[in-house]
Amino acid sequence: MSDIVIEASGLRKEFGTAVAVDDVSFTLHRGQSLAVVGESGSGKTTVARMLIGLETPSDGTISVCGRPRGTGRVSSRERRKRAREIQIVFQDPYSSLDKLQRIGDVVETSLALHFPLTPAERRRRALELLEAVGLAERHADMLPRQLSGGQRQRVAIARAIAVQPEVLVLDEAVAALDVSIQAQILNLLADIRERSGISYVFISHDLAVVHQISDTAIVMSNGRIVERGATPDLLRAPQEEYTRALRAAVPRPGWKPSRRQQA
Amino acid sequence: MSVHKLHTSDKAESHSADGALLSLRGLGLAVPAGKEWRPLVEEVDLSIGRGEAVGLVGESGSGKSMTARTVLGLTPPGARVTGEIVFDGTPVTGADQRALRALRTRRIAMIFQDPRAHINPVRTIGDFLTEAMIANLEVPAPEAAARAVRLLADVGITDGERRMRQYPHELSGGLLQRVMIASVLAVEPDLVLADEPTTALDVTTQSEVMAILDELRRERGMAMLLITHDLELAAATCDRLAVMYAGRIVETQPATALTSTPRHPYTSGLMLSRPSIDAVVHRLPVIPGRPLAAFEADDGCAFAPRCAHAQGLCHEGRPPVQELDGARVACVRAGELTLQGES
Repeated sequence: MSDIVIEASGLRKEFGTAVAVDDVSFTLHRGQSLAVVGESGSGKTTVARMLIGLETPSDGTISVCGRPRGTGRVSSRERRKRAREIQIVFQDPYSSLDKLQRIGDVVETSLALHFPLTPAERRRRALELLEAVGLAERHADMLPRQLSGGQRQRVAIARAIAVQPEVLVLDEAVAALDVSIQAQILNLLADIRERSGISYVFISHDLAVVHQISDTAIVMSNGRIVERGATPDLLRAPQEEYTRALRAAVPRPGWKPSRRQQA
Repeated sequence: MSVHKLHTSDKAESHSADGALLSLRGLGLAVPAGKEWRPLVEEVDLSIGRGEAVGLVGESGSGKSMTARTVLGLTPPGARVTGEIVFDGTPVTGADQRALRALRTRRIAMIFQDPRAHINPVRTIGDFLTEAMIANLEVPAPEAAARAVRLLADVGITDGERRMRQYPHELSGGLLQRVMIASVLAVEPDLVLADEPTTALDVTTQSEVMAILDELRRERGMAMLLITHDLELAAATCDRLAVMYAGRIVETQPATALTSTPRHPYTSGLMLSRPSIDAVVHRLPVIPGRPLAAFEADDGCAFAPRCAHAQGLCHEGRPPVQELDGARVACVRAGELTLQGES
């Protein structure tokens, strides 16, 4: 089996007359972390949604773990199989969890769907997963509202990795978190990748975060890829005007905000 | 500048003793929770000089927003304010609604994070921009409209006449925030309270909006209190920075000094835990745990449970604020620690 986990080719998505994504192609190798960088309206989230099957491409193809994604209806068995291949963590840890479901049950539900475990085994596995993301046993009986934003994002990560997917899509997964919590989650994601060899598609507008978490990156603007490359090279010496502008706008030591030329 | 200089006479007359435009002394804010008071802000001392830009930096729950809102009396229902707020020599604490209203309409303006939530969606941009000029400054409507178009040009919106006829939903977040800035400039306040003004914007738009705010503020000699979670952004646009944690200011220093030689372990930790576009580290140095609100902190230094430098003494009472080489820092170990700033 090849070590390519995602092959996206000529992806296009139209919403009515608007073109959200236009001719986007990329490959993701096993264990690799690919960042999709862009500002609002760049189409980066639509790419994420197409990858996990929440949107159907208007044109182009996606194959995950060597299996092409069709456009037709799929059986629940096929859905479960796909879920073992790719999972997602959303931006907002407040709306991505069921507010009436206890934390332990969140993870157990995921496990029950995919593995033939006894209730006791399932419980033990759920606790292991919570521990792996830095939560304690006492959190298992809590409701989402009893947790902080950072803790909820840990739960969302635990739920996603519970099924041991090949690929994890992270859609602005650390954007809503406080700086000190963001660093903890970025380290956690690095640990998980080191341990499991999982691949990431990391959707983000934040170049500093992207620098820390990804090996390669594609930069999107108006639905198209404007530049791609190894992340350190891309940030050190961006070739395209758009990437340069994006980089120049990031506050850092010695930085001053600047007004663009008016069009 | 095309904009009229307003009520300059009453500005010149009054000066507070220490020359500060705004000074907060021992400011506290607590909200009722059952039979108890739940503190959100405690013992905040902060002053802003005329034309000065001060950044108030902190994570969620630090009380930074509440501090700014308290200045304008925008406190939660039933809240209790303690300490003193003095604006231009006059106490604001205990001022009646009329006095507060006068302050809000002419002297202190606020820019909020989400302009969409603060600009009336069923009125045009033109209505929004001219309302304050017509109602509060008694500018005739045609003149107010002409001035609004000039203000829009100042904030980089060139087709002002067309924009004036549009509604908020027709404008992007970045454009709407510029409209908000234009509305602030319209009344030429002495002080702008900017609460995360660019947090909801894309980075390139953030850079542009901050540049506009910075430039126009300087031109007009307006002071600014910038509330933000982004230390880098604050350092780039402010003269002085104050870092808040659990409802208190833990460190105040000139911006360049604070980023090169932070004096409080929290400030240093905050800077180091932020990834950089210039360098990658194998693991980010993290501050363990999560940020606390004032009411969650126990008796000692509120940061002590997360602090790598904490000792026994740190758990005994709130650390007093001390002066140290031009810095004001609330850490009992500040004098003996050498902390890493940005490289």
